[in-house]
Amino acid sequence: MSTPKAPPRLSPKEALVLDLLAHHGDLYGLQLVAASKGHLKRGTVYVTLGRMEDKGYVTSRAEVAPDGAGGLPRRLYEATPYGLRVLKAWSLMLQHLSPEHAR
Amino acid sequence: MTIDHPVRRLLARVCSDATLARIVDPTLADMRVESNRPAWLGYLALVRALAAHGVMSLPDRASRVWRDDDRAMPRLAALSLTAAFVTALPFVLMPMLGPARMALVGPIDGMIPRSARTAEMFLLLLPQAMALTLPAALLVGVPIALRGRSITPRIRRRGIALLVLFAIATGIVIDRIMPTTNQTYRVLVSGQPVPRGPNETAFAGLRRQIAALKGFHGSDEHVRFLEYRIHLRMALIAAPLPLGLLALALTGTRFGRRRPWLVAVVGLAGYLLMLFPLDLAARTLIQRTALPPALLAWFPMIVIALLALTIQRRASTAASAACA
Repeated sequence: MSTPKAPPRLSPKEALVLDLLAHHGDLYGLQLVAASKGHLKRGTVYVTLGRMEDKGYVTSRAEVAPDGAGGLPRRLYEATPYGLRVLKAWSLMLQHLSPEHAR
Repeated sequence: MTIDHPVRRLLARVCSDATLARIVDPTLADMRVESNRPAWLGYLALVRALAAHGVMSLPDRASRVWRDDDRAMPRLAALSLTAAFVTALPFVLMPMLGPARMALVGPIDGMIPRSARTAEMFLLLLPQAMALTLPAALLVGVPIALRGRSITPRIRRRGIALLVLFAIATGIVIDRIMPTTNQTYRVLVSGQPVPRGPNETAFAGLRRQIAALKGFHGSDEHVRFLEYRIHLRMALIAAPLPLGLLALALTGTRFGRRRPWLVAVVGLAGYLLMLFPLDLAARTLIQRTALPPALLAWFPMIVIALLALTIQRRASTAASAACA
């Protein structure tokens, strides 16, 4: 008998990122920090986003800059359909188990 | 757009491609966008991001170090610790033959009192023996744990990290545990309070003794001897690095891959047999010559490190020639 796979988990920060991406569409890291109203920090937002990419909750792509623009390209983050499904399921679960924590 | 940035160039030497793409590049890109904010705030955010990433990825990294290369690193650590303990046994048991004889034929003048328990004696004598055998055991652990395996840059990198951990462990034994256990043993043997000798004094105490003695006429030889003891201890603490590098270099050679046990036994016996005559010779030279005590104490480790680098360089040259 095979071992059942553990259900996906979502930390409060990951849920916030998915929620913001679901409502605002594609966002840069700094835009996520600004939209979170202090819940996400500049120093840790990319660590959270990197972990979420590993889990398949978000994808990212380098920005397309105009010709001749210098410097490093920013990364634009987008919630994956899987990430949005996890967010929905997670919100439902919280709603059923602890209504005061549901969004 | 260009991805060239001086900080990125520097971090590219130590960070993985994934860390560069996910943490470093976006943070540096944000600094370009926020040109009205002071640059140091951006660098501060980068340092915090890298620190957070380092902490978060620690369990994953530890599990990779545990699993990779057929668990070579845990095997290396376990074999080296076992070898250190087994090699320490003769050093511990030799002085303990006294109590064993006492049990059979009664107390011997000036020997260990009847009240000394075997387990207690064993625990008191073990740290001094382990201070010698912890570094030496790497000459056994490395060739046996990595036998038949080519020494990749990853194995070398992780092996060196393990050598640093062994050096830290040796340092704790030599400076924190050994002075106390040695002194307790001496008091137990003599049955009365005994003044601490150099082996029963920590670094700070030895330095205080040197500072106090330096003003007295005729104390030069004793000061030189104490300085030698300090440097010898520091050399023993650092010993896992040259010894481990020598073991890694030997294991990477064709002979090392074919005869790991021979390399282990000859390496360990050679090092331990060399250590005591060299110490004796160094003490004689301190009395009879003006050679610096630091040089005499560090000389064996310098020779071993040079030997390791030479073997390593030859093995690399041979490997490059074989590839060409």
